[in-house]
Amino acid sequence: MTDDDLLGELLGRASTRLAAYGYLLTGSQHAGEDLVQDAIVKVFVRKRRIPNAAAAEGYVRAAMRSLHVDRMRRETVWRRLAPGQVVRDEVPDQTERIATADAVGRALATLSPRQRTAVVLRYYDDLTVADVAHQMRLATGTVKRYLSDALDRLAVEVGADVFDAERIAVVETEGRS
Amino acid sequence: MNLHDELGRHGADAAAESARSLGSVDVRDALGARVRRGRRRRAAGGAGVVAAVALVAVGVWSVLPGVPMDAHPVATPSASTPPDPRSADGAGLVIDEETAISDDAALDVTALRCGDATGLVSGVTAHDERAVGLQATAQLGKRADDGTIVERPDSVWAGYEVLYFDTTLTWGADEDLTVTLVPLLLDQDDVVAVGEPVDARSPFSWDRIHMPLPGDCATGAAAAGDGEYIAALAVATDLPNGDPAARFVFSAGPVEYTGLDVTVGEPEPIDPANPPELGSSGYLAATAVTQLTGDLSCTGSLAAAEVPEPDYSGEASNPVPVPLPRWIETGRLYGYGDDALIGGYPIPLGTDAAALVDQYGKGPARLVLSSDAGDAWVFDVSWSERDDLPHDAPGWFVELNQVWDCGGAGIIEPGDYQARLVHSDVEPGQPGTAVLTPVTIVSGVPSIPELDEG
Repeated sequence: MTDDDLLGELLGRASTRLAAYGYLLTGSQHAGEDLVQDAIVKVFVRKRRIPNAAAAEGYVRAAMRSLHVDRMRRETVWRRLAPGQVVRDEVPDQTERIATADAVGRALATLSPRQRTAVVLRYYDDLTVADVAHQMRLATGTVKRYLSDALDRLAVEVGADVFDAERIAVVETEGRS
Repeated sequence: MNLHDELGRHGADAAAESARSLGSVDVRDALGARVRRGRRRRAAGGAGVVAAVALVAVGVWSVLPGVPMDAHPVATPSASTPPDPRSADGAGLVIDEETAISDDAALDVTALRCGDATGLVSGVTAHDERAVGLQATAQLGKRADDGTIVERPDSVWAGYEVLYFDTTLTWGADEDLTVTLVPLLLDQDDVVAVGEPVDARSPFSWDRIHMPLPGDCATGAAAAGDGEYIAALAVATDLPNGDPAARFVFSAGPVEYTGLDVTVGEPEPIDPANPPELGSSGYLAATAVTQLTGDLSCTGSLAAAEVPEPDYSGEASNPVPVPLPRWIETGRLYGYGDDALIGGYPIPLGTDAAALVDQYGKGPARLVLSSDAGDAWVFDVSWSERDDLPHDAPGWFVELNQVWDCGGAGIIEPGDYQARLVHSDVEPGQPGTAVLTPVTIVSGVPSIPELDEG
């Protein structure tokens, strides 16, 4: 299978999942698409032995995580240096659109980029807290704090008791990690 | 509610249009083109390294124009597999008894200068048979301002991350070699940055050699903005009698530099007789390190003075500006004249300081100036945008009001002071202390001469 064939098969079978993952990480349809495309280029530019589209999807998801965390660190600097520009360009528009869609979307939009990323990696990617910390290059305690704060925020937006189960899971994971 | 399922549903719904777009033929073709372009750039950037390492595999070396080479990397790639150029980074190079000895003039690593087209390719040139047994390694790494280490990075954010080579050198003989290490950045063949040569003696287990930024040129000149550059390290080893033993060139392949436009470089000392103009780019203080410690109480503010100064030569990240001046007039600290203690008078920061103010000025902030003698002066900091000041152009201003019951050192005298900025919300709800470049206090109000004289 040539790389072009593999790329076509990857996009054919995984574009929905990758687009959703990009959106969840970035909170923006546009930024999510960019993230997916950049990750695909990063994976395919380097010659690798990728056996099939499923493996390629795994590579791309890993690259998306890495690129997103890198960008988040950079954008943290940019938000300090050019405050409001990054956030204001995207979040209000997205928030307004998401607000009409569902409560989870509204709740996600209230989270900080790091909280959002931690939630997506922990609860959508199903990574352990230790793995989330490794991916985000943070201490596990910091990730736990982000998750706890994020669940508090989500509970306010979606409903006070909605995420009790997930909160217990965090405690259990702390014990393992 | 199952959060995993809800997130998946929400993501799929919200990104349905993105999924359709990603699955389109146009996007697939565009991605294919980007991949091919990326491979060409990658091949061009690492071509020299690929060629050199590939030639090693078949026993032929050609390093530096006109210089015959023979060397063996510690981990020789198989001839049938094209080596990844990045694999040369960190691989050791060793000279053994089969290595050919070159009679040509040895490369003068201290003569490398910006603007030169070097033709450098990674590898080793042996110049003396006594160099047999000599082995060197160089591994590129990246350190972020929070201490995170990334091995073999392919990108660097110049504002808050620094690149370095970790190097080792061993030699079987009893005598020590004289070693000179020079870090370089190349744009294709052209040198665009040359670091300060580092002298050492073998053997050493490791030396950390920090990379210069694109455009850092002690001699020569190179225009360099954000983009891809090849990180390289030239190493000269000389025998005790001064004869050249061997020359090594390591390449880490292309590294993408970003954020060069926000760095301000190593701070130059202030000349009190000719300080930078108020509001000019060289007027602002800078910080390379912010620690998540400190608070805005008197005790916390005074403790901030103890946060150590970074070593701007490499371990710290590259400084970025903060909305505070590098030199402050006593007349702006204490009113029109030293005796009129009427509080801070607005100090101009220029018209472009809005973004910086928004970063540092979301909540209360305090500037702590401390002397070598251990005295400290604490100032409340407030920023504002004004157009009503008769002697200053409209723009952003900072006011510094001394906290008289904290520090207790009286009026600050002209001189140089260590500076720390304690500010709110470095992380959400978490104050922090930024270690600033030193601040110089000058007497009077020389920025408004007629007032100073009055």
